[in-house]
Amino acid sequence: MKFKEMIAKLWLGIKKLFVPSSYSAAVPSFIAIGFGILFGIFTMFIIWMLVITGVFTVDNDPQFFYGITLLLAGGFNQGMYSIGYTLYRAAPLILAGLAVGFAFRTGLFNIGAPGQMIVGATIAVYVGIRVSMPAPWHWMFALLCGMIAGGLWGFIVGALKALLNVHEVVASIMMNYVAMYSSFMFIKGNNLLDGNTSHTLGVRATAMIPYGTSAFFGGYVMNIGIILAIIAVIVIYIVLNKTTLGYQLKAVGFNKDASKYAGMNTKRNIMISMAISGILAGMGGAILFLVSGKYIFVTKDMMTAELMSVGFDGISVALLGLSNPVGALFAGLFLAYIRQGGYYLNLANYMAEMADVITAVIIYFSALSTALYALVKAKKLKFKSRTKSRKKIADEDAGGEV
Amino acid sequence: MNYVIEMLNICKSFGTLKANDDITFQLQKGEVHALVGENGAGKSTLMSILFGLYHPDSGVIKFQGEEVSIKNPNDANRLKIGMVHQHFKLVDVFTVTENIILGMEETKNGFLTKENSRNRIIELREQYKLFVDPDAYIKDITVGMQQRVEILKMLYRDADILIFDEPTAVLTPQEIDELMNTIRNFKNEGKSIVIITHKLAEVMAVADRCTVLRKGKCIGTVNVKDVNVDILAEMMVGRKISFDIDKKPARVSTELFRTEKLSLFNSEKNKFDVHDVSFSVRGGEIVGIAGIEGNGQTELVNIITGLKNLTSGNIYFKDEDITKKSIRNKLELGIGHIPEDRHKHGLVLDFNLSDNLILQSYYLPEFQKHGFLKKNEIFEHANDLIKRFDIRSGAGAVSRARSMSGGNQQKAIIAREISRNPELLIAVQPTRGLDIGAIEYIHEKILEERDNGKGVLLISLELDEIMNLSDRILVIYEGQLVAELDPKKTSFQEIGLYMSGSKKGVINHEV
Repeated sequence: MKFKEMIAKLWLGIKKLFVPSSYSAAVPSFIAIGFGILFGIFTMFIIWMLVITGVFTVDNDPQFFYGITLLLAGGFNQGMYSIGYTLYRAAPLILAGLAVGFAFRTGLFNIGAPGQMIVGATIAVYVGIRVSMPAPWHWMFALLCGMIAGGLWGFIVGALKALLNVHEVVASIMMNYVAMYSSFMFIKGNNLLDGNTSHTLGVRATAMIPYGTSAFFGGYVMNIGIILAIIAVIVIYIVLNKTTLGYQLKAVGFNKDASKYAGMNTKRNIMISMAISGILAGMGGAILFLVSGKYIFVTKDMMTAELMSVGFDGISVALLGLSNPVGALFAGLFLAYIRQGGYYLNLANYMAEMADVITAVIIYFSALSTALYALVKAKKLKFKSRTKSRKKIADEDAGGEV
Repeated sequence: MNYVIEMLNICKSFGTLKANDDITFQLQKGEVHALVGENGAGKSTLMSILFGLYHPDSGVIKFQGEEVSIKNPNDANRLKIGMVHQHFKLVDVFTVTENIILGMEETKNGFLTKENSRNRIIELREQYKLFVDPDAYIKDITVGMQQRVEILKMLYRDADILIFDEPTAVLTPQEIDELMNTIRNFKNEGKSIVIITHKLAEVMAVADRCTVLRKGKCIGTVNVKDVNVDILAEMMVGRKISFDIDKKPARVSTELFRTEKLSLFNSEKNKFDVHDVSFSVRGGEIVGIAGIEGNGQTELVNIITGLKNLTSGNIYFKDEDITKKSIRNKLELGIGHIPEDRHKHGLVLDFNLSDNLILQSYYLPEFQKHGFLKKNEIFEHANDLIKRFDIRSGAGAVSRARSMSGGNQQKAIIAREISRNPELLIAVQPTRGLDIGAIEYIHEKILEERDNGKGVLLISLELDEIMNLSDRILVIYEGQLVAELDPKKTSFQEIGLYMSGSKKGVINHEV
C-alpha cells in the first residue's frame, strides 16, 4: 500500500515537472516550431522550383525531397554518432537558455550570456592548459573556474543595476565586448596560442570532460556535458520552485515594488540573480571547450564568434522554452537537433544555414505566437458567445410565437 | 416622453465578462439623471459607449428619437455630447486656453490664433461662474480647477448633454457644493446631465431621476423624490445595508508610535512633499489623516514604512528610534501596512494566493527549513486565513492573485497584515474601489484591531471613512498637518476648509 502511494506521488512529481502549469502554456512554442519548419520547407521548395524551372542555374541541383528528409532526420542522420554530437551541441545551448530564462524569471533581461560564456570558456581553457592536476579533479576544477568567471561577469552587471541603476541590457551588451576583447588579450598575453596558429592549445587530457558513454555513441564528442546540463536544469528548477531564495527572486522579478514593501532586499536579489545567470552561462562556455579537438579561435573575424552566437542562441532557447528550466532543456535539444539536420543539408545541395533560417522563423513566431494564441482564444470565445446569443434570440422568437 | 438620448437593450461583453447586459437608459431633456451602481456594475462602460469609446455588441442608441451610430468621440461631439472623465484628459504643460481649444484650434494663415478663443472662454467662465485663469498652466492649478477646465471644454464645444464620471471623487466638500450648483445651473439652461456616481447623498442632492445598475444589469429607473438613500442602496447592492458603524468608545492606552518633524524634500519640484510632520498614535485608537489627493499622504506613508528615505526627522516606535531601520526590521517590530496601491505594493499578482500570504514571512522558521519552503505549512496557513477572513477565489489557495476580484485581493492583504499581529496598523485607502459589502467588512476588521488595543493610522481620501472610523482626525495640506480635530465635534464643512488650505490651525502636540 505504502509502496503504491510512493509510486503515485513520484508520478505526480514527474508530471508536475514536465507540465509546469498546464499543457496550454507550451502551445505557442509548438505553433512556432510548426511554422518555422513549414517555412523552412517552403523556402527549400521555392529554391528547388527556381532551379528546375531554370530561373537560376547552379552546378549541383538541389534535391528537395532528400533535403527534407535530411533536415527532419536532424540528429538521427548518422545514428549514434550524430545523436552524440547533437547532445554535445545541446548542452551549452541548454545552459545558455537556462541562464537567460532564469534571469528572465527574476525580472532581468540577461543579454550578456555571450560575454559570460566567453569569460567562462577562456578561464576554463586556461586552467585546462596551464594547471596540472589529476584526472577527475582537473576538469571539475576547470569547469568550476569557468563558472566562477561567468558568475563574476554576471555579478558586475547585477551590481551596476542594483547600485548605480544602470539598465542591465545596456551594461551586459557592453560587458559582451569587454569580455570579447579582454579574453583576446588574456589568451595572447598568457601565450595560450598554439604556435603560429590562430587558435588556443588543446586542453590537457585530464581537463577534458569525461566521455562517459562514448563507446556506446561511437563518436569522440559525446561527453557527460549533457548530463551536467540536465543536473543544472534540475538544480535551477528546485531553486526556483522550492527554496526561499527562488521565492524571493521570483517575487522581485514579478513585482519589485511589492517585494520592497515586503522587506526583501531587492538590490541583493538582483545581484544574486545575475550572478547565478552568469554561472550558468560560464558553465556552458566551459563545457563547450573542455573537449579534445576544440579550440578557441582568436583571429579577428573568428574570435570567439561561436561563443557569441551560442550565447545569443540562449535568448532563443529561453524564449522557446518559456523561461522555464524544463522548457530550456527541450528547446535546447530541439535547436541542436535542427542544427544538426542543417549540417547534413549540403548533401542535398542546400546550405547548412537553412537551419538558421528555420531557427530565426521559430524565434519570430514564438515571440508572436503568444499574441497569436491569445487572439485565437479570444476569437473562439467571441464565436461561442455569439452563437449563444443567437440561440437565445431564436429561443425568444420561438417563445413569442407561442 | 421627450427623450434626448435613448440607449435601448445595450449589451457589451469583455471576454467572458458581461459589462452591460441588456441595459436601457433614457435621458430626458433638461434633467439631471444619476447613474449609480457599485464598482464594476457597468456604469462607465455604458457611458463610454454613449461617448463612442466602446461599441456595443448589440442594442440601439437613439438621439432625439432617431437611431444613430456613435463610432468615436467625434461623432459624440457632433451630437453635442460631452464628457468629464474621472481621470482628467488634460495636457499638463499647456495653458487652460490651449487645453480647451485642443482639437479645434482657430488658425489664421496657418498660425494659431488664441485671442478669440480666449475671449469666448472668459465669456463662458462668467456665464457659468467657473472661475479659472485662462492663461494658467494645468500643472499649476488645483484639481478642482482642472475639473472646471474639463467642464469648460465641454461648454466650448456647445455640448448639450453633459456626462460626469465620478466628478466628486477628487473634490473637497466645498468644491462639491460648488459643482452641484454648477450642475443646477446647467439644468436651468436646459442642458441634460448624467452623473455617474456611487455616492448616494449626491444623487439625493442634485438628481431628478436615477438609474441603478448592478453587475451589468439594469435594476430600474426611479424618480429621486419618491425614494430615499436606503431604498437606493438596497437596489444597488441587492440587500439591506446599514450605514451606521457600531463603534465602541475607544480604550486608549499608551503612546505607541510617534513622528517628529518628518520632512521629505522633492528636488525635482524644489519643494517639500512632506514638511515637519509630527504626530503620535496610541494603542487602542484610530488616527485618521484626511486630505485631498496629492497633498503628501503617499509620501508620508512611504517614509514611515521605509519605502522612501526621508530628508529629516525621526520616527519612534515604542520609544525606540526606528528612523534608520530597514523595512524588514520595521515589519518585524510590529508594524503592519495595508498599502495604497494593492497591485503595485500589496500583491505579487502572478503569485498564487498562498505565496502572497507569506510575502513578509516566508523566511521565518514557520515556513522554511534550511532554505527550502515548507509547502504544506504554507498551504495550511493559506487555508486557515481563507477561512478566517472569508477570502473567495476560484481555486482557493492556489488561485493566482491576478484572477481574484479587487475586494478579495484586498481581503487577502488585510488577512496577511492582521495575521502578522502588528501593534500598529497603517491602512492607506483600505477600501478604494471596493463594493459596499467589502467596505463594511474591512471597516469591521479595522475597528476590531482598535478594540484589541492596537494602534491604527488610517489615511484615506474618503471623508466619510475618516469621519466614521477615526478617534482623532489630522488634516494634511501641502505636506503639512494643518489641524487636529475631534470627529464628534467637527463637521465635513470644517474639515473641508482645512483640506483646501483655506483655514490653518495649530496642532497641539504633546511630546
